[in-house]
Amino acid sequence: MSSSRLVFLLIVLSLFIGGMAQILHRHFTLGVPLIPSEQRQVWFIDANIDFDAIKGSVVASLALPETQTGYTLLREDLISPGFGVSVISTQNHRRAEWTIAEARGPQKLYYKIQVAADNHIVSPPAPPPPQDAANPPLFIDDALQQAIDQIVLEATKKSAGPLSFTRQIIKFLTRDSPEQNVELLRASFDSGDLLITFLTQGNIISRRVYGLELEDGRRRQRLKDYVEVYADEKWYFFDPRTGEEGKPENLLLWGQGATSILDVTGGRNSKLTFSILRQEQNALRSVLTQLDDLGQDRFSIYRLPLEDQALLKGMFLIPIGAIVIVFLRVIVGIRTSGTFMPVLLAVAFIQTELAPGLISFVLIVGTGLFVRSYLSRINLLLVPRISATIIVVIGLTILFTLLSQQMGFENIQNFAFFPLIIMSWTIERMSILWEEEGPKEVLIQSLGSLAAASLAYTLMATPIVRHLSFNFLGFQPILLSFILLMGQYTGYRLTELRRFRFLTGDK
Amino acid sequence: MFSAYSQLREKGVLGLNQRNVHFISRYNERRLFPLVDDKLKTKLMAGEAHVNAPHLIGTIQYQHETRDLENLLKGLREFVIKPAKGSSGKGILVIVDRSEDEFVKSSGAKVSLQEIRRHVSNILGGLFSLAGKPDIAILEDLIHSDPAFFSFSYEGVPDIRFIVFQGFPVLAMMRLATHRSDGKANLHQGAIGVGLDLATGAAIGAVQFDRPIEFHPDTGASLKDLRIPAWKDMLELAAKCYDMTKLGYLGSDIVLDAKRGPLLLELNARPGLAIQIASQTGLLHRLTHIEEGKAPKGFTAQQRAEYALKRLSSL
Ligand SMILES: Nc1ncnc2c1ncn2[C@@H]1O[C@H](COP(=O)(O)OP(=O)(O)O)[C@@H](O)[C@H]1O
Ligand SMILES: [Mg+2]
Repeated sequence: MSSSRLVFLLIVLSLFIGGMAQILHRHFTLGVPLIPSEQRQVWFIDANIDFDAIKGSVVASLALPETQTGYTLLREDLISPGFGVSVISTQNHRRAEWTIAEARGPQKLYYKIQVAADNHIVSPPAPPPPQDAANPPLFIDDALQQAIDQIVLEATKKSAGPLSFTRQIIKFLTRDSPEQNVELLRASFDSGDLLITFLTQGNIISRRVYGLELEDGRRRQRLKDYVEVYADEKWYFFDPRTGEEGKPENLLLWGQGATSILDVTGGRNSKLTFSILRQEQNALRSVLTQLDDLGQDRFSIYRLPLEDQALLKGMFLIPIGAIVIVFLRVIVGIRTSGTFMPVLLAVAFIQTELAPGLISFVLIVGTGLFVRSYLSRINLLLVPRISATIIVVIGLTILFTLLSQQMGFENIQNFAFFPLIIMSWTIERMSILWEEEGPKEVLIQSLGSLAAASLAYTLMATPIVRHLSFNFLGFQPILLSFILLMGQYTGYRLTELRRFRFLTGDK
Repeated sequence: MFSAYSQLREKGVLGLNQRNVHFISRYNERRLFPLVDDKLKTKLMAGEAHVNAPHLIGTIQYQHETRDLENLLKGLREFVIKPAKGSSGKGILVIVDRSEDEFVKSSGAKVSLQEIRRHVSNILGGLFSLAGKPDIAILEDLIHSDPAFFSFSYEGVPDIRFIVFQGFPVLAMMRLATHRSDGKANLHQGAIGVGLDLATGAAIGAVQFDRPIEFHPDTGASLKDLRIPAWKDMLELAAKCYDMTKLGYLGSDIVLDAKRGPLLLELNARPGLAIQIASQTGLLHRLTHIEEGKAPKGFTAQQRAEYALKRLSSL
């Protein structure tokens, strides 16, 4: 082996080992996963407290949510200009408390949380309620009390335990054409209070819980109240308005164990509203955020502003496209139109998705070729002709965009993702190819290019590849080492086995 | 698949990757490429080295000169216009006759002065050159093919491609224009490649589009009857191109003019590999023979041609 070859192999090897080392280090010592973790939903919830301060000191206290079945609390922030804040743990729940010595007029306090949907979280069964935790009875006059007794008696007869009793009661309360008494009760009390009163009458342990329905993009949402019934050493969840049982998946329980959610002393007209936003996030993000918080992750692209991240991510994928092209050309031996045109095409496909992208590209280039065949009949110099082609391509892009909008397609911006100049040159090259070597060569090269672009796209869109290239810088030198190796491959290309078949005697 | 692979190895077939990595990048210095990529430079260099080539009538470099085209073409009955940096026959206009303002192409089609002007301006604009770089148009003498080839070529001048390694011609093939190739002797456009015996200049086999073929599709001539006259002179001219360019792995394209004999048409620093299919011979055995120093050093072009004829042809 010559010494220059030895040096070359050493370089390749060190690129490979260096890259590997970086990947393994990040994986084993920093805990960054090697395979992409699933996407999960992260809810950004802002609780807004509004009230008018009566001149003097103010204490506002808000019951807080906890990590619970289905949801993990990722972070919380209390924001409150001028107020002192603290989080207090009482024996069965936590509260945020804002205090100020002197306030006047309308006040605004914020409590912001991020909650991740997480199916692995199952909260431990809640302890049974203390014996004395009786719900305060509603104030009810004798006539109504009689009606209640009547209903309770009937429900007890028809039921076999706390749960069926509850169901019976809810049925009474939510009936379409209720008796006059029930109607009166329903009008004077809210459904949760009412249900609990009935349950207490029937000697059933129950409690009120509050929940927030998570729906993306909601503003001015309010908490809804629900009722839980204690039976068989477990709490069972009921919606008193509909009788539905079991906690809906999109319901975040708020302030479990608290008897009141918001208390404001020194203020009035207090109001609690929520705005809710959803984001799909990589679960990996939280690992990175943690590392970031610890200052251990100086080389993560997630530290950059979002815009720069997008740019870098695009760049990190290009070597994947390059290696595909190298492979297809050097090992397989297919022909493409323009060496790296397929990579740029693949990058555009990432925006458009494969099938719509392919269709859009073929439409524009096909129509462009058609128009270009006219341009070649009138006498035009090269640069003006390409410029004309560019303008034609812009025109076609706009035309197809409008057309597809008219026809009600979804991805109408598709056409705009392809680099204009690339398309124009592709059209120019194809049309010359057509004139000089005929449609067959055009077909071979277009199919070659599209196949290369699709393959590059498929790789670039593969979650594991994306994950590795975004999170492990070491992935790039490894790619480089493979490209270098392929650059030294002097064996036959696959297509050459066929091309030279007549040389070896067999047909 | 693996057996196909090892069969090719056994036959000594050179593949594209090996050609690029092992021969072109090792034996052809980059700075020398422009000498052969630019036909004008090649022509001027050939003039200095006393290598015969078609006469240069003139060049056109600027768009405004195209207005003067009429003057330049005055009195010319037959001529060829080609882009200096063109390749694979692109942009070559062969005019074989003229009546007033009408010019007759080799295919028999007629073109007007206006169309020629447009063609020249396309050449200058870079339509036929790599990456669309501005180019120069070359105006040169028409080559009259040797009568020996009349029945073998259709509407175009055949040329003979030699692969010359370190000054030794190692493989030869004649390229015959066909109707398919539009009168151009370029293989991938449909010209026929006839492999030639290095010892005699007689046909070994023929291919079109990389497939064996026996008769010329347009003239019907039996291709195995082809035999090149003045074979030794041709080999010597091919060998001389090495001394002229110092390119170690070179493709020399030589035509046989009826009056002037062998002429250098163009040189190529990245010659194609189809020549192996045409001549049913892999390049590697001969290349390695020379590379391993088994061929003598310090020979003149004439001696190298001789050596190729006597020794290399039998490898
Ligand atoms: N002076 C000429 N007279 C006649 N035919 C020519 C002349 N020059 C080129 N040709 C034809 O054009 C073909 C290609 O020319 P060449 O100079 O080899 O350019 P390219 O680099 O494009 O192959 C030749 O094989 C020949 O058939
Ligand atoms: Mg040529």
